[in-house]
Amino acid sequence: MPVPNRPDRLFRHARSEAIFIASFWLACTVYCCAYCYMYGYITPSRPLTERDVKPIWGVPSWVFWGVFVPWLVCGIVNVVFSAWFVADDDLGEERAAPIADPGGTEADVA
Amino acid sequence: MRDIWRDVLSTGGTRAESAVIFAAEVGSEPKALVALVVFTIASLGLGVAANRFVGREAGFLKKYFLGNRSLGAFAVALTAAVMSGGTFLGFPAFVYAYGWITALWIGSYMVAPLTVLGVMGKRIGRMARRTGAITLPDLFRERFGSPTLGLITSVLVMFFLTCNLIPQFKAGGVIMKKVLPAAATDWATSPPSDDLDIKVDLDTGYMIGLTIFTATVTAYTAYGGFLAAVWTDVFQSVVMAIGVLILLPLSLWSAGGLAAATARGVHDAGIGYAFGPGAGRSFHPITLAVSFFFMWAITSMGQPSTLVRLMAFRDTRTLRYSMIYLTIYNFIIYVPLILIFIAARSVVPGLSKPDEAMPSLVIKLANPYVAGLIMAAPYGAVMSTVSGFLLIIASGLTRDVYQRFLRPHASEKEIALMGHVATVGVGLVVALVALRPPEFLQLIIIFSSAGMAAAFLVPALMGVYWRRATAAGAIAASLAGSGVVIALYALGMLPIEGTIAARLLPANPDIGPASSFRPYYLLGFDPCVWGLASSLVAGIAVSLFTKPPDEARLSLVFDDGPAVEPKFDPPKREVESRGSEEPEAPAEPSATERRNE
Repeated sequence: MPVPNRPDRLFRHARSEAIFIASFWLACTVYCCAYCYMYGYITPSRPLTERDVKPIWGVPSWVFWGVFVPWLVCGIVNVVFSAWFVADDDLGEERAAPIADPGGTEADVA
Repeated sequence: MRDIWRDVLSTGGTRAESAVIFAAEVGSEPKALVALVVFTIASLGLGVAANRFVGREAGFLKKYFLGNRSLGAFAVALTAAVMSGGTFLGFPAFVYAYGWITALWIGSYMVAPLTVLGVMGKRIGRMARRTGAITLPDLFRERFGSPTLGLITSVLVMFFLTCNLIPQFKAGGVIMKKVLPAAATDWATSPPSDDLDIKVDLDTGYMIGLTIFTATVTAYTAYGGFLAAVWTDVFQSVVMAIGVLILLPLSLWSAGGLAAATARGVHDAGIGYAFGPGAGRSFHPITLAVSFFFMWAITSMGQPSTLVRLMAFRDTRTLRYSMIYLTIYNFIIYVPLILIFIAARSVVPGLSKPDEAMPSLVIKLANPYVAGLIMAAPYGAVMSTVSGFLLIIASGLTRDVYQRFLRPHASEKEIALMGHVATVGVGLVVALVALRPPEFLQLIIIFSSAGMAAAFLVPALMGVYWRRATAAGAIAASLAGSGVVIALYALGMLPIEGTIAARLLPANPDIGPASSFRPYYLLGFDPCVWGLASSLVAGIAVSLFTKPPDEARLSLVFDDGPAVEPKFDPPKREVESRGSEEPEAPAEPSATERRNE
């Protein structure tokens, strides 16, 4: 009777964390690229001039809201996520011997 | 030829080419020589310290190539930051040249600490320990149970990294030549040569510089191993951070503020300086903007140097802290760099060669000794790059070729000797090739990074998260990804007029940095996107069409407390259940068995 798979605790944690990170990366990509394209790109239908720079602390507004503010928010999310939401897991013991294979033994084992 | 360097810089800025530019700017500056000597002595000292720091109880390979899996949070963060000469020279060059759009170009670094360390860090760390893997080919071979995959991975890693190393050596040699006193090289007649010409003649100064660089870097790497490479990386990253934090207030004060600098940039380079897609040309259209969110945040996950570090961190707490440190580090490096080199438009206006922006700014604003120290950082970056790559190649030769195929029963002493010999040997061979580096080699550096990511990222992701992934699928992913990247670069560089490809494909869009050496931007996207996509499709499709992997092997890397030792060759009869079978003929007692004994 086959024993059902029992994914280990670390695997389950790592998978959840990876899904969050991938979603977060996607959100950052979509927001930054979309915002910057809408407000910071010169296109034939949207010629921009120096008056459109609208600097905030010297930074063009599209860079301020499209890159720097998201960067700051990302930094906060990264720190909070890493500090409080990433689980501490046991990486396990170092394997004393390599998996048996036709290449023979491995000399470096501890 | 100088244009080639500038072109390459504006495609991403690698350490080698940036460092050569640095050498040209610094010239025979005594303070730079002092700074390089300090770097060299510090690096040698770090090599000696690293050798003594690691305990003697571990096996040689694990100690030498992985630092005994003992990396702390600071080391993981700063080595994963991949600070480089490019960071300090190449990136500033096109902030200066193309303006504010470069903020979006580098923007994905905001999330890179999580993607690079968080997506696979724990799983790679666990798998490496459970399988005893020390190298990337080791990890793939043990996870998928395929010597063929291990061999393919070894060959691809060695090929790409060796290509990468040759210009790094050249850069090191040129820098050393430039800062050596003239008397040191005048003893022999040297033919005239332009240092920025990639075709380096066999001039005495270059050869002496190359010899000093090779001797230094191979010595501390061969002696100190992985930790020496890591500590050198940390050292130069700290120096760079100090340099940035010094330059920021000086440049903003000197420019009269960012608004004034922006206005100056618009005046000099046009309205594109303040908006996308960049000043002067379509440098960063929206398709490339999307591509570069893959380029920095995703492809970095698949670099062998990153994956090796994920096998070497101490514990998951270390990983969490390194993500925090890297977040802070990226923020205090990249955002200030953008501001500094926007301001540079006012401080050092009218530079005809943007790659001179950093040295020109530093020399103008900083104390001469501080300037020397800041500008020595790219040299340290080249050294740390070389040492890291040397070790990966040497580990491949030692572990994956010598021990695996030639001398499987070699003693630890013999393996240790082989490790040192491989490190020095690879260094010498690359230095010999670097005497006459092939033309356009910098382009190979760029595409090899994309190629490695396309070759290894998807197999790594499938290996750590997908039980159904098979060895055939991993091989297909690896070959498809690297093949597509190579093909797109070939299409971009080779004349295809009059061929079938020219009729089937639309014209290569004139986007990205100005260069005659460029990839084919299919639909406007960078080749890394297509490489990763094709690798993913091939990996999934082939895995689903091939026989599922051995369940006992999967249990080892996915499940709690596997009781069965997986076999390298899948058993002829199906494994009915975990814990119900003994391995047929393990060459060594398993960890469980040893503990029981």
